[in-house]
Amino acid sequence: MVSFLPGGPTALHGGVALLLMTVPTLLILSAIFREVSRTLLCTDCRQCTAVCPVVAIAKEIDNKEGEGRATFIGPAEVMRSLRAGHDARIMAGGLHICSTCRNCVERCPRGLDAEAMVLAGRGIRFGKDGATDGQVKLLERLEKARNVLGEIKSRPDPASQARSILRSARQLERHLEEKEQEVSSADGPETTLDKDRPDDTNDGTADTEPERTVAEKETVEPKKNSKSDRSKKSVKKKASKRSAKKGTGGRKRSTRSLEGS
Amino acid sequence: MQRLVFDGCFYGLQLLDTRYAVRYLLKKLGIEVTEPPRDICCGRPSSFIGDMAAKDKLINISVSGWGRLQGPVDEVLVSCPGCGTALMDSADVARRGIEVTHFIELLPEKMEFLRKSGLGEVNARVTVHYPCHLNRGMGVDNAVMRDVLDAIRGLEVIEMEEAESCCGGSGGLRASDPEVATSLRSSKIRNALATKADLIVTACPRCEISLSEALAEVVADEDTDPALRKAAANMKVVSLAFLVAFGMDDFTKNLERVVNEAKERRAARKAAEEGMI
Repeated sequence: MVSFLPGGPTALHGGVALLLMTVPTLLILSAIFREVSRTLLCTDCRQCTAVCPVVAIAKEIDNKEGEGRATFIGPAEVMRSLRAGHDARIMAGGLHICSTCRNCVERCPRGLDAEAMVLAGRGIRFGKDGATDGQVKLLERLEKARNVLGEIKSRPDPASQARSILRSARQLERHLEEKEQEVSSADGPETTLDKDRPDDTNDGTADTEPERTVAEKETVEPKKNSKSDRSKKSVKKKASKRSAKKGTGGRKRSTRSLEGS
Repeated sequence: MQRLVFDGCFYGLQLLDTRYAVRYLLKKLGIEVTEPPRDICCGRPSSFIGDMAAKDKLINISVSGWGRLQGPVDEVLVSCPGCGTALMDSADVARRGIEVTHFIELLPEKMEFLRKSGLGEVNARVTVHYPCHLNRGMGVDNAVMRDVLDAIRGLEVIEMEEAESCCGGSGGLRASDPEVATSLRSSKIRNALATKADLIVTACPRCEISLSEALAEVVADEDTDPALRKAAANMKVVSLAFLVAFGMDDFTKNLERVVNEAKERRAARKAAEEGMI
């Protein structure tokens, strides 16, 4: 490399060559460090594990069917295992039973994206652990038809579409009418769920007037309160949502770096 | 500004009533959209299984296909939050500076306008399931869905317990471990049934399918309390877009016209064939 430079090798040329070699190396190292340091941010607080619905369900299934049937080690452990390169451990921990609900992402105090880590883990293990019949079928469909449904490649003609949409609309209309009648019948909606009563509350004698009784309105009242509480809560959450949205950039980066490893 | 509408597999090919409802409402609102050249999977299901190469390929086919359209795409309107999350995560989409929006994000500020142009009363008691991928995937606040529902007259919203918890419909769970998926949707549906609502409203096709299956499972399970089974039989799952469109007074007008025209064409063809003999 140095010999290409005019005037033969000098200390200056050597310095330039060294600089040319070290700068990219440093850049690559700093990029890796950035990614690694992101996963190192995990303080192992296990908030993610606490809010994970699959961890809870897997525990129930385990209790029912014997230890190890559906263990899910949880987002924090998946991240730790990926970081330490424990491929076998994450697989044994049910890497594929995460439902990608992102509860963990929302809850993480350090802004880590465990869902992306789980998907990255699946990417690392792809083709190494075998797949379930369902997964094989889904992959085939995606490969052949480029959609998850497989066979259905195009929509039916407009008239058949219109017929089926009309049918849905009428079904919905009928459904709501029936419910109205049920509600306006003497005992209110509770009768449908009342175990002691025979199944004859909606026998055609129901009043067609959809007006709800005072008693029913009262039963609904406390729920209305909870609804206003909820909207207040949602508004409060709005600010945090925006930051979560911004966080997706970091999520992508971490996915890619793990895929490459 | 060019807006592209992206349905994804489920709304594009299977749950066509929501696909139509979205287009009907867009027309009502005077929002012009471009149809994509082809309906192709967004690639998210591939990433659920770990096939990252397939994921990149599928999303590349979609995005490069948009290049054939006239003018650049500025915004993609999705009706499936799973597709929305995949598109938001895509480096291709980000590089082109394409904004990804869920259809229902357009609705809250247009509800007044919709009411003036024929959105009537919908007398129903509904409960809401907030899809994970809409809220935590795309970052759309739950209040958006709630605001739309609150703006429909006659509608009574009864929030269920843990309304934003997962229904088990996504993550490739149905393919990798159906039992876990079933357990998740079963606990979800019990919360929904406790509200005694007429409808469960959601805005994600995976949730729609999962919750409908959960209802059918409760109805079919003979060990379940008969009252609960009856309640499940009396409950329906609808998408928010379909519910809003359903409330419009002329929603079925064009559909009926298309069906009648097809009927007339068929009759005319039959008459012509008979005349030929």
